Amino acid sequence: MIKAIWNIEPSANIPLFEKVWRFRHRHFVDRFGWEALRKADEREIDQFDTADAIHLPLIDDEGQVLGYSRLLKSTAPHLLSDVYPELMDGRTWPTGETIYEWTRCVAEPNATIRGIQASNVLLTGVLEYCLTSGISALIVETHPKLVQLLVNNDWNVLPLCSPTMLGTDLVLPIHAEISARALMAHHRNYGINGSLLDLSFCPANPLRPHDELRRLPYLDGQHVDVSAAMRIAGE
Amino acid sequence: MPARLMVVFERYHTLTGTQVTTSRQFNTNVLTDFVTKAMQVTTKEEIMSLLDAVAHHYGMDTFAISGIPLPGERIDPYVLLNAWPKDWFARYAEKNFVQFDPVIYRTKITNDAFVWSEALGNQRLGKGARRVMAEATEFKMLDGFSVPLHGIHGLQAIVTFSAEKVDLSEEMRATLQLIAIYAHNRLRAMLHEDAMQPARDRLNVTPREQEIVMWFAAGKNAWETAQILGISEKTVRHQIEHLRRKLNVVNVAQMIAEAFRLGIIR
Repeated sequence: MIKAIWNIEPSANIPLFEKVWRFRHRHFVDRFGWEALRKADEREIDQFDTADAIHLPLIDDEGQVLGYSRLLKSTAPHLLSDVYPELMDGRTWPTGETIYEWTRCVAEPNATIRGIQASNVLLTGVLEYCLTSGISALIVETHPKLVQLLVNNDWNVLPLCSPTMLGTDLVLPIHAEISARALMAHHRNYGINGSLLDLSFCPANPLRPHDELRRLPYLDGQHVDVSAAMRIAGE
Repeated sequence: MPARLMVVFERYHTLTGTQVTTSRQFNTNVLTDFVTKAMQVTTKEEIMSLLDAVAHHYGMDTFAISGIPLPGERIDPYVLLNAWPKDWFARYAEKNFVQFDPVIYRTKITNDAFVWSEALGNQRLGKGARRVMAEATEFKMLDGFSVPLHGIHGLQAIVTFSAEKVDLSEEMRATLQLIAIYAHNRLRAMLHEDAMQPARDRLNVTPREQEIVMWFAAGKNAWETAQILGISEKTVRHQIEHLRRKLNVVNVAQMIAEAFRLGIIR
């Protein structure tokens, strides 16, 4: 399940953070070869990992991290503003209190959680978290193939600029709207039957810190592996 | 920049009245223009004419969008959009070239967009494949750019452009790939919309039911929905139960998912 972490300094000594930094290092540095992020202690942390960042690690039922995404406020320094503004070719992009930048999205390849591929659980869980907290749109710097995956799942996606080469990768900035329509398409397409969020760790809403996050009324139950339940029932 | 594209650029400048446009600005303009318009159009013909303009901006002569037939099947029923030369398509369908076409074969094994001459140039093609490519040249389809579109349950479709010569930078290819994605998605949505019409007619969802499921999808519970609509919570629950049975689903989440799929709510 997606276990949201927010409003905690990255220096805080919590075991889940340790797993997150190591998971990020293992995937982004060791697997994808982003050498600029390499750290001697194998904990991948950068200047954007402030208490304002929303960390969305995907944790399996044994407590292993199988995926991760990070959401950054578009009204504070983020990657498009501070790391590669050239992706916008001089154009401006939408920012605002309900617009976040989606970065560091990665899942363990071939892993599954409760019968669903980890990458699909991750994408769906990020979308559910946004819908639950009132985030209206995400800015993402990504490959055209992710646009195909999103529009296939009924997302409204607008390219903000044409793709360009970033190192050896083609990247374009997009504006992806958060909608119940897209969340329901994910549920239909991937066989997800309930909520993917564990809000117990950080129940406050980052957009309205005095309010607690309330799970979407129509997703009050957790996703369960139906085929496993049927096997146990002997069907 | 290739000479041929310079001509295209100049024509574009004349049309838009812009002074100096870099290649990236050009790509961004073509892309955003296509995406904005494609979201508004409602017919296949309109998509065709938008795509036609894009193809010419990038020096491509013809294009088509098609699903991929299973082995032994014909291509005709899978074609979504067809701007091939008429005679070529007739021959392609009649001789069942789809079974030998190396471009189609490659589409099945990769989800990266590719230029024909680069992807197939170094490969030893079988007799059937060589024949398809040779006969295509009679219609000036000497080279092309193809975009495989892999969906949730595997290969969905191919969007393919052809020309005598393909001269596109990586950035132009990626721009064309995005346009292919949006064109196909819009066509798919139009077809789906039409296909759901009989089900919508049969279900005969009332305006009240539609209104209630819309508020549920917006995250309201039965009590909140009742407040918004000025009716009792009991009525809301009753209506929801009625719609749930109509749509033949087991819970509210599935009901909302079905309502979106059928186009009852948007």
